[in-house]
Amino acid sequence: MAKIIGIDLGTTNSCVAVMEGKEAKVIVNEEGDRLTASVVAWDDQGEVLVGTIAKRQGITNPEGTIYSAKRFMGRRFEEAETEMKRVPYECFRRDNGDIGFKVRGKDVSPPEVSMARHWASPVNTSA
Amino acid sequence: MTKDPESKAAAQENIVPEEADTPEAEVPAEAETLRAEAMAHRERSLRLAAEMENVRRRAARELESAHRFALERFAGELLPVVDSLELALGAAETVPEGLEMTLKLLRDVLVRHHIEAVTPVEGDAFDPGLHEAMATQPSAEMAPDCILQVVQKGYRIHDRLLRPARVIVARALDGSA
Repeated sequence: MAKIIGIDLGTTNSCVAVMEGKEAKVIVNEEGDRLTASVVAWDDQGEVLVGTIAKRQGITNPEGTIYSAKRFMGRRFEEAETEMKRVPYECFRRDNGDIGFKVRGKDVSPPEVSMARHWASPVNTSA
Repeated sequence: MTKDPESKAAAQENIVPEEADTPEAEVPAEAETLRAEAMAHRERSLRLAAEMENVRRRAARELESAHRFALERFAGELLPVVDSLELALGAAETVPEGLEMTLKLLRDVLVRHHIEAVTPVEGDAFDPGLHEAMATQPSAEMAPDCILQVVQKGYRIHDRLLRPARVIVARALDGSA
């Protein structure tokens, strides 16, 4: 049977719950945590890392680790200049005025960062 | 059902009454059966819903108690460690030896609960699955992304990381990166 899920997509942490009967039940992630850090990283082997594991390597990979992506979601480049100065990764102005991230030569939009769970390779998701 | 013989008799006498009578005679009977069946289903679905709710509540209660008992046992096993530490501190001249024994007790408890140390050594490749980078430092001797220094060891419980090992990671010398 189809299930209903809800996602709390936070700036710092995210959480997923599934409807079981009348109640929402939080789904734990692979590490057994109810919260998953809203961090996505592209490492030098081309792997996509999501959550705590991405957060842990952030300091070694500042340009390839995107955090607080929600802060840039739905905002125009001109509206978020002060925030952009505070993050170590590269932001650029898309042709339509939106904000994009430049990660290891790849253009990524803020919503794409948030759906990066789908890109993560099985190696990472089973860790 | 009681009208059946009549309607059959009517059908034998004349074709017209059959068309008119048979549906009238059979429909109420069938409707009655269906209604009874529907009632039975409704009853059953209500019972199942109630049972589901009970199962869910019981599962929640059991889970909670499982959590509590797991912690109780663990805490219980840690108590000798506390005792031992108190004894060691009470006998000042044997503190180093006492502390060593205490540490061994504590480690044994951890191992019994499948809690094992994650102890990377300098030169190991940095693995965000096990290690957390506290800082990076330029290094001429160490290859980039290798562990330069272990700040604090990590722990694993079963196959899950309890705490990552905190490390300082080497990076290429500034300018050459």
